[in-house]
Amino acid sequence: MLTLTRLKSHPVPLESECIRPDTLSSLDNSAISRLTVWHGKNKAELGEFFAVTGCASDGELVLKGDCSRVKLAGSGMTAGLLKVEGPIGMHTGTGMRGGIIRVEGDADDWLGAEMFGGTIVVTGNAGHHVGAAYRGALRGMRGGEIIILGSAGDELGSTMRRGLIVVAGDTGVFPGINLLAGTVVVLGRPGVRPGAAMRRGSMVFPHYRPELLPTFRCAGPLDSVFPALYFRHLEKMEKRLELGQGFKLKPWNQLTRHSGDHVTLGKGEILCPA
Amino acid sequence: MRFAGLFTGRRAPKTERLAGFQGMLNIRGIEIEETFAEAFPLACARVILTAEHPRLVQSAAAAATGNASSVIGCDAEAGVDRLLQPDETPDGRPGASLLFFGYSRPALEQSLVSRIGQGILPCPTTAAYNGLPVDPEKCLQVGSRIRFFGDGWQSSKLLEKRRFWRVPVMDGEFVVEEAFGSGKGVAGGNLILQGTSREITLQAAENAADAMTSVPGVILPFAHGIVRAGSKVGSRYPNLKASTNQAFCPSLRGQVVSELHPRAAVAYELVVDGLDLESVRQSMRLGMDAAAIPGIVRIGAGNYGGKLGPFLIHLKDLVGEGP
Repeated sequence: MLTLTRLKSHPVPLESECIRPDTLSSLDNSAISRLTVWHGKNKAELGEFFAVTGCASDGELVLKGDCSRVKLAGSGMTAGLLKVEGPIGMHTGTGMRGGIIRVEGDADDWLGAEMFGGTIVVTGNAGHHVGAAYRGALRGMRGGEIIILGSAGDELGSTMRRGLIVVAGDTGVFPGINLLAGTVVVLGRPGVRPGAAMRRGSMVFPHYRPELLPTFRCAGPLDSVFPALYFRHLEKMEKRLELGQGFKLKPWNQLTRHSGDHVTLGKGEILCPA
Repeated sequence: MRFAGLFTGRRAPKTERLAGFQGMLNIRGIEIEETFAEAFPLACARVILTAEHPRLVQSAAAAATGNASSVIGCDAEAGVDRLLQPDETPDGRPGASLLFFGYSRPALEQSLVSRIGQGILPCPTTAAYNGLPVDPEKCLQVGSRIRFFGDGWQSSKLLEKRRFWRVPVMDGEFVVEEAFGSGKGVAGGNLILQGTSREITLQAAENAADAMTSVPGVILPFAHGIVRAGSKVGSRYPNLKASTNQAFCPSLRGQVVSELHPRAAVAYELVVDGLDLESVRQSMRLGMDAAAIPGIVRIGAGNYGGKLGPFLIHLKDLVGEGP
């Protein structure tokens, strides 16, 4: 297991795409220390900001210290485990294709944006645009799973194409805006205007009924095993990822189906209590 | 090793005694013929069927596995492997494991589409899931064809790399998995029981069927698990692929060369298909043991001289392996 310990926090962001377990696993510690990072507009070496200890060959990487201004950690990773002990900055896990990122703290905006696969677990809160598409992009998250045990910010899963986002807490405004497909589960209280302009996909709010846009139409109680499949999947995920008490999975009662958003294709759905 | 005749309580005819001393096997005094069952490979699939109530599961299972006794005259061989408890199914409802066997993967795929589409989909509250590992190159596209019943209103969900189709129906949604795994199953395992009366032989056959179906991963595709119409390949009528096996018909004694035991009045066959050879062997082993009751005079097996299938299951090996 390789450990990168932040030497000191600094308000200038550190763009460190090189922090990913799959590529570091083939390097020795001196080579890892010489990897290029960007500190603001200045090119620098990773070793200037992190103490490098341990061995990366087993594909496990631990980030310690205040990484709240460390951007792009785990972006594009394909395998391995990236564990963050503390907060992490923006764009964590963007475009990732495999492996697991586990953040024992809060994550900043654009968590898992445009990711293709793998799993991200955040035990704290996440910022805005989780699993979203970058501005101008046609598709957001295209696979994988994001589990947030705290709350999430605005525009959760914006333009998401495939995959699963689970938020145990509340969300900011416009969750699932412009959703193309995929599934968003919010166990807490969703923000206003959920599913605005969604085309397909499912948004599940098993415990709270949000105020829906007038362009959603109620279809009545949903009689399907689909929520049960997801519930059992979450139960398995809870054990597999050792989510612990923070997840608080409670039984889902009968859900009502609302189709929408009828300003677009209208083949999406919001499932929530009546 | 025990010998026939020593446990029967009667003095065996000279020919039988000689046979016995030449190595005739028995189980509790019941003669085990020194022959083999000839099994052959068939493509196989497992469907996990669930529904709201066990009675709906049984109805749908009966519909989906109906008219599927033999690939000689049916599109597939099918049956209920076992009933499943809610904690064993993907959606936490009562269910059943159904096994299907077909000549080839394309043929099996078509059978599954039609049997799930006509047998399971219309039955209230049901859902159908894959029950075998999926190899992308060998999987059966089932849900991806049944989904068209949704006429454009179907939608899909991808969970743990498995795609589930949700097809709107009149009581809600029918959920079916897109791809079903297929394997190389073993069909044609069999036992032939000969007894002194129909009652006794039928009782022995029922005992055997119960024991054989207790093995996971096997089915007895015929009704009640028992066959009275054992067949041979071909017929004097050119268009018929199979016809009655006259050598085992008691009413034709004297007219044909009979293979019945001199004291046998009735013969029944038990046919078993399984996901692998060992399951079929285990099933036959248990079946032989359960069928060996007083009144049964011979337990044998059907074969085609080793020309049909690559799996030759010798009864003497099964006896030697113990229960």
